[in-house]
Amino acid sequence: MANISRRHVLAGLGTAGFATSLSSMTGLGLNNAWAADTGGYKAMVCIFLKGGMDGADTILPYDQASYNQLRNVRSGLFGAYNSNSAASTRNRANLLQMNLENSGDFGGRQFAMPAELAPLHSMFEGGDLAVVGNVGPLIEPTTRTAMDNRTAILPKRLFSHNDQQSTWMSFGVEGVSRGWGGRFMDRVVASAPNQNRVFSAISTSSNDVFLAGEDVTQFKVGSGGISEPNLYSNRGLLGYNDGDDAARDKIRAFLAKRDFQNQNIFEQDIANSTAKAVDNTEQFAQAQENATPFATEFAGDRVSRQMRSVAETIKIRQFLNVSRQMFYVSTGGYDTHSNQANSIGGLHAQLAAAISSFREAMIEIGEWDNVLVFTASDFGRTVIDNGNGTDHGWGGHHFVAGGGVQGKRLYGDVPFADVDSNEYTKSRGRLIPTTSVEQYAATMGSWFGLDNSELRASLPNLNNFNQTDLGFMGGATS
Amino acid sequence: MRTIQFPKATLIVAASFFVAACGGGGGESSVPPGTPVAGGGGGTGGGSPPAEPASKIDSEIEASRFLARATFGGSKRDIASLNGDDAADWLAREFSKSASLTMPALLAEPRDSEGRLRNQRVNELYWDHIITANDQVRQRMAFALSQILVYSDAADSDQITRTYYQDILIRNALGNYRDLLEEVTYSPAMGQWLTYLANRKGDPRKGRMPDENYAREVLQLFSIGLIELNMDGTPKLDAQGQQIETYTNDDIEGLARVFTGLSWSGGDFWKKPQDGPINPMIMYPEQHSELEKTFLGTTIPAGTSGTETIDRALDTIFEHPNVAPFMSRLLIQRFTQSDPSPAYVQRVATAFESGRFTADNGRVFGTGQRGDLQATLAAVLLDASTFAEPGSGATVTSGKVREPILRFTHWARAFDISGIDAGNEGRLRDTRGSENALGQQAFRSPSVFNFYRPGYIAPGTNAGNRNITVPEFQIVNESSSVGYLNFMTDFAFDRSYQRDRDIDTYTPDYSDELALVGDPTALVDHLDDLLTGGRMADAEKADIVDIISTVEIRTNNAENTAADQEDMVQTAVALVLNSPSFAVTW
Repeated sequence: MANISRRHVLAGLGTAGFATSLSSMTGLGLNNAWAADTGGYKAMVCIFLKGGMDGADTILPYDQASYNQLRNVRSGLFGAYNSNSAASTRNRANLLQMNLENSGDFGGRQFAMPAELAPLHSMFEGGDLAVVGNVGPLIEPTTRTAMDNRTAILPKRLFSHNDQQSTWMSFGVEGVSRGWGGRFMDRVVASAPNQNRVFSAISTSSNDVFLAGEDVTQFKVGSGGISEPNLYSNRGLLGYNDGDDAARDKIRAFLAKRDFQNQNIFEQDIANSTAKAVDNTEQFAQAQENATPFATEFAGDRVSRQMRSVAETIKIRQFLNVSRQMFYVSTGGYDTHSNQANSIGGLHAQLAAAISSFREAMIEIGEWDNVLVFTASDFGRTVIDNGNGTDHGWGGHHFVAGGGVQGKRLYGDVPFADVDSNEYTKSRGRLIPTTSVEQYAATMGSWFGLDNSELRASLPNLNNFNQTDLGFMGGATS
Repeated sequence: MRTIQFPKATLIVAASFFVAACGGGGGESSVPPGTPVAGGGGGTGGGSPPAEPASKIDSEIEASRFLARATFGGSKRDIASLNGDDAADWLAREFSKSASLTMPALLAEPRDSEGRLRNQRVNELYWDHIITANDQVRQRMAFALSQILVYSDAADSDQITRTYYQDILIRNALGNYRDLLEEVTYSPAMGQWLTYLANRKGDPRKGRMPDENYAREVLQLFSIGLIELNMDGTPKLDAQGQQIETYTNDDIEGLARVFTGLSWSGGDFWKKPQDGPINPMIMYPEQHSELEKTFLGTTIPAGTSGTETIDRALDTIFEHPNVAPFMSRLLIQRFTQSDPSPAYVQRVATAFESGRFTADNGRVFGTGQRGDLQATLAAVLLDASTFAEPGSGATVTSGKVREPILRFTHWARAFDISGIDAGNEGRLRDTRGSENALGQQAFRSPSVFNFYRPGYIAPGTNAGNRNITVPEFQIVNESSSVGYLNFMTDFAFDRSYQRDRDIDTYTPDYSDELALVGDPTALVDHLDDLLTGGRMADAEKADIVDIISTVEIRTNNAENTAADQEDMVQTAVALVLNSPSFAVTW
């Protein structure tokens, strides 16, 4: 954790030319400006699985007939898993059956998770986790018939990774500049003016569009903690003499200066972003000085490290002056065109460990009821394999977890592996989504605190769908 | 324009250069940005004809700027040498230099008792290579291509496979795009990365279909993109004003059949031979789809041999009218403009299409064959708009944000670093991390989409508010801003972590700068000229002068004085490296 000398922070305030925004000034907390508003806290955590997670290899059919059907269609892939062998994770005997509370919705059909997802399976059985099936980008409810007739209005650039990632995050192809996570936070900030904008939307990975709003932009928290600029914080550079402190204070002021009257627009933006980085990381590090460690341990993989950063940030939330936060975590490797039997299992295990550790940490600090973790991905994949892998699909299955989730249920749909049926596109067995990303988002947004008009303003195609609450957060399914 | 401020002590500046030709180069013309200008220097543009070609370099400042665009950064020697020359002639000489490849250095590397290379040597060697290579323009082009025809060893640590791929880009960087595409297609690196090595034809009995990965990405990212384009890079629109997709899933399924049957050289479809990584993949006819392949309006008859099929498929892709504007816009972004103007794209695309480019001074580049990369690159680097001095007052919206790798190499070359052995530099093992490194590592992006997207528009920025694309902003955030600063500070102060502390590596030569410690203004002006080509704003420089004047210089003994003077210079360098102007070329 950073250990900033307050002397530098206070000295910086007094330096001529140190210009900063009002919100960050209050955030610097010279006295009690950060006293928590205890009127409720909620956090949403998006875990974006880049590459396109194969839904059909994540939630598997369990009743014998459905299982056989999938195995027959995917003989290459199941062969790569050696599914007939006793130890295979795709041997039906080794699958973890999901005991749905709403099993009646599916007739005699049963579902299971592979053993690598055991921690999520426990959460499912315990009621903390639900599966939302066959979610994907849609403009309007879409049928195979309408597609064949060319009357369906479809999202653009289906099957293109970057465009579908963008579409999941913002309902537009790459280049769109506002994501729904950011838009949700814009509404929060508009209703709660005391909310610290700077730490409202937090990314632990990349500058993807999900958290970009009009008023709210993301703050990046690295999984290694927050660093400070050495040029003024490392006294070993200029020397340990007090005589060099004056230079160090001016260096900090230079780095935090927002405007050098550069003529070039890119220079203006660089100056501003460096200055924001210096100010914001300092504020955050000061909040982190109040941090205490978790008893819960997190694994060392990319997803777990990011979820740990999320947990740590939530733990210091009262020092960040926020009542709502939107988090963005991302990881890759899901584009399993080849060697899927040797890759997706490891990814699943990481995902499950990360979510389950996060849950433990939240329970430790009494916040599990206040958080909602959800997965997202570019697309599902083709049910028809290519020998040892799968190609780009459309609808996929996702997890939602949190104390407020009505778990142990399967919402939406997990169709049969009957790739010739109308649930699929005309080739390769790509699921046509039956739940749109916007319905998924609206259900979560409603729990998060947005009202109907705010949801419709944030989700452009929501009006095209009858059901705007899927029910997994306990809301009425309307 | 100020006259240049290189100190008299340095060898690079002879007295004659102070009498800068034609009023200091660049001139005070009031030409609006983006307008091609026939004469960049001399006069105020009144009614007199242009005195000289736009690409004539009339000052060390102009030389510094051009070298930042065309190479990994101008050394003082390079700057002095280019000054007075026409950039077109300089470029022609660069094109004629022999290619320096990366494989020899890797093969010469010592191995452990199990025959293994030390980890990450490929990254370390690549840093040394791009900083020291004599064929700078070729290397810079190969680096640009590596961000378009992306291969990454993030998922595979075979250093030889990647090195072979690096050399494919280097060898073809100044050749023809069609050859480049073919060598890339047959490379084991790309075959593994985009999963078509050992991709088999479909099997209707088992339901298996060919892997579509390469078919999709070769179209989307390496050749034509997703939407039909005009020659100026703008989207074509149909009668309803909608963009037109270049291909459908049917095209992908047809093209996926093409890339079946390729696998390791050596004769065994499933087994990688010892020298597999350094040989092109070969075709295994029994694994190649015998079906008809239809895509992009072409049909390759059933039963056509695998190699013939691939040849025809690559021809079909290459002949698509999108290739010229698609590749041109991407290349401009790698060298000179983050948000290329349609007119500029059109000029470069025309050079690609015609295979020829004629510079302002009459020099002709290219063989006349479509896809000629020398003509294309010459069109990018010698475009008159890149030499024009922007009008004063109005906000300049042209220019390029430089990726962090280029900013680091620029420092290394500008200060003539010695001890160039990245193997001793812990920080150069892998510079991907954003919190404590550059946020970017060559040939190691997380996906085939590079570290940043060509169409990225940064929220919450002035550029973003004007819908200006700035790919490099996609890796700029709180942690990477501080990470970059700390990384550059460490090297500027010659305090980067060295594995063997007794061996001094990546050591900058600040002797010219130390000669100026008595005059902080002169020192900062000098650094401005050297590192940004004289583009720093007055406020940036005034602040830095103030800071370094505040650095305490002890006078109690000579050792302390020398150490403090060194601190002063290092501080000045570190601040300039972190100034907004250094991050941008324009």
